[in-house]
Amino acid sequence: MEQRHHLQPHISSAGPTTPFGSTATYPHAPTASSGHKRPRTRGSYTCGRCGQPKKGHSCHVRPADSAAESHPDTPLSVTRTPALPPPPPPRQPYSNLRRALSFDDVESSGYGDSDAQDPDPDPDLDEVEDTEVDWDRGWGGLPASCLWEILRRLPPPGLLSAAMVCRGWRETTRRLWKAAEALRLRVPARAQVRFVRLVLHKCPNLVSLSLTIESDVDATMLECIAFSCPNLESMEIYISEKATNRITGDELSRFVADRRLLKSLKMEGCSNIGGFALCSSSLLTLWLSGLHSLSKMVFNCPNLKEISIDFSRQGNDNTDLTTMVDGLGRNCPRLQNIHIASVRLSHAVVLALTAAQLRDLQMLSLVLGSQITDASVAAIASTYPYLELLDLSGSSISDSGIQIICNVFPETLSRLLVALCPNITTMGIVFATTQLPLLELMDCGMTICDRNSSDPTYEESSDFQLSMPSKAKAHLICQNLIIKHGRLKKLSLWGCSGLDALSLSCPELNDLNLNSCNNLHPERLSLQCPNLEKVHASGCQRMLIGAIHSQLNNNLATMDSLLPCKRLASGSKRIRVPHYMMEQSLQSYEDDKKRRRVEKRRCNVLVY
Amino acid sequence: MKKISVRTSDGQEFELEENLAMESATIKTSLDAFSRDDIILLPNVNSWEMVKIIEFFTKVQELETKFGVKFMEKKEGRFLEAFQAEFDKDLSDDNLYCLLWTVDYLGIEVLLENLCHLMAERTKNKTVESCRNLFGVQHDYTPEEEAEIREDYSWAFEGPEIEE
Repeated sequence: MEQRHHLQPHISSAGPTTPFGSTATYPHAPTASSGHKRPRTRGSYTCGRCGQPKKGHSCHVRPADSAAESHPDTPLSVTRTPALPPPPPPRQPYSNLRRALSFDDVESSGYGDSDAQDPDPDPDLDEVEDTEVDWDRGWGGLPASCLWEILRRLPPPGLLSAAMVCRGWRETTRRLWKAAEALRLRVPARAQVRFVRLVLHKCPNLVSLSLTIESDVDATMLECIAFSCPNLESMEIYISEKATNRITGDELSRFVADRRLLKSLKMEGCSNIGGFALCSSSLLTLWLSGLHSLSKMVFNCPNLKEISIDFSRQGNDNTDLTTMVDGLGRNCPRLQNIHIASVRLSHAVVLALTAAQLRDLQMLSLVLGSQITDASVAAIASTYPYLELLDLSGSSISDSGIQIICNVFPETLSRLLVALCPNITTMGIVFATTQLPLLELMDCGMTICDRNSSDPTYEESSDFQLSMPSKAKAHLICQNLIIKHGRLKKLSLWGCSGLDALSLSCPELNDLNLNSCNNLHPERLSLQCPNLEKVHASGCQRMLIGAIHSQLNNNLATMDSLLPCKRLASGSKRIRVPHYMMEQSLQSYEDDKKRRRVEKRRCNVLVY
Repeated sequence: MKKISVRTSDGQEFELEENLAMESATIKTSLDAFSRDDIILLPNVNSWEMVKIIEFFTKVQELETKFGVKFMEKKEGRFLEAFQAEFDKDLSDDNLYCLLWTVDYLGIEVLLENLCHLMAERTKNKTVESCRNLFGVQHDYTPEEEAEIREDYSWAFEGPEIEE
């Protein structure tokens, strides 16, 4: 290609070398090899003078000639003094070394910021002598640092293919793999264990591994991981819907027991885990989801801080949750965060939990337990008065339960989730928002809705029409919600089909979920939330979406209200909705306050 | 703001604002060593490359005023997207390759990072052969080595070959 050959030797004012101390960067240019510093000296594959491969050649190019062949327009021939400044310090080829490689075919490699520190010099640098790779050249044709930066952004098939290009590239990829400490891999359906083994073999220093597996997985995968990653601290296994996770409880228990460093274990689709005995003093975090009936559950993990146990909602679940919680309480006294999702949750389970007296408990989430009542709330509140998160979604608690919560937790509770609690009314919600000053997240999904429609898929209804309430149901669905809160950031009212009017005055609110609030009157919506960034309005009527837009526009500081409006006889104002109401994509900026001039805030209204 | 003059390999002269010119480690070094009144000669930089670099600086300044963040100092993800959209469209692979060299030579860190990102995006869709062409590397594997590697990574290569 033409353009590459025009490059002249770097006889610039910066000295006889490139700024990065490397030489012979251009294949056809002789370089002045005297007086420069080569930081990583190693056998060079090509002759520094003539650029030909060194092996078996005798160089007939004299160094003195190089200056004469240089470009006539060099600074040396102009007004510069002959005393050239020393070259700037050479740039490490490993600067900004990213230790995490993300291997998702769908998304690009997930490198976020690049402030990984410079690593220690690669310990096997010396071994490379044998392969005669001129590391400074990078062999990509590019400087080493550039090649590194480029290759490390490739997804795994790309990186594996890159090794095929030439030896130098393979070397670079090898070092990239070695430097990897975290790996996120999507495992293809066929030959999965072999693939994983190959990849893991390349990154022996792996500390964190996340696999998304497309086909059935069993204990051979665990063995492969155990063999290849001695330093593993964190493991996550996600499984696609069509695949089955065949790992049994015994196999998992053995795996965990042998991993001295394992701190975090997350696994999905645990349908074949019938029971387990987990013994680990290093384990801090454990997430198991998709569990079916569990018989024996032993948690011998004294340092466990976070546990999440999710039972799939299938029939014949015989798990004795009370015993399980009892065991947790006895063996894992340091628990801070507990999440249990099971339809068999009951008051007895809660009592077992309170009996455990877990001193560090901060986040408690017991969901889907319709047998959890206000009495359970009272028990929790009396034993654990310092909770930061309480999630009792799907339970039978009522406004009285909320009252108990408000009495006990105002000084600590920042997140309250009571979705799918049919006995909660607007009164309870208002109670919570007025009495919990630290609240930042509140989920009241499917609470204020028509009690007769207990269909859990109600929010997916495609009925977009404004349904006229029949007189019998009128009192249940004409509900007005007024929320004023100084700190609330995220509020969810999804599926609150009984909501008729909504008034929000929350200066910090970022995210509002109104999905399927299909009885919310557009004219009875008031959003005084200048920091709103996202409004979810799927399943809402057009006019409501339009009203949302106009409310948001009214909040913009610099925009005058250009919307024509007229006063109605009732004293309320009808605003004519602008034509753009169906458009949704507006950019949202952050750090509004830090900007020098006032700009309009934009908010995304998401209508899926 | 002081302007620094540079002359590219084909004799064209450009003026850069001092603070922007200092983003280039190479230019900065020569400025430190010599007087700022002299024209800096950049025999390894083409004028079209210089144009692109100036375009980059302009764009960064625009984005900095818009977002109120110093991009040169920190690397913002959003900047990457905005940058990519602008630069990607009229830069051919070979041009990008040359620009990469030049920017590496000039030592403009932020631009280099963004260009590497661009190049990586393009490399993703290339076959091994087209990579060799683009980057000008020799195919130095023996047939046995090549067969061995292919064997190992056979599943990485299944699926349709993309582009070129």
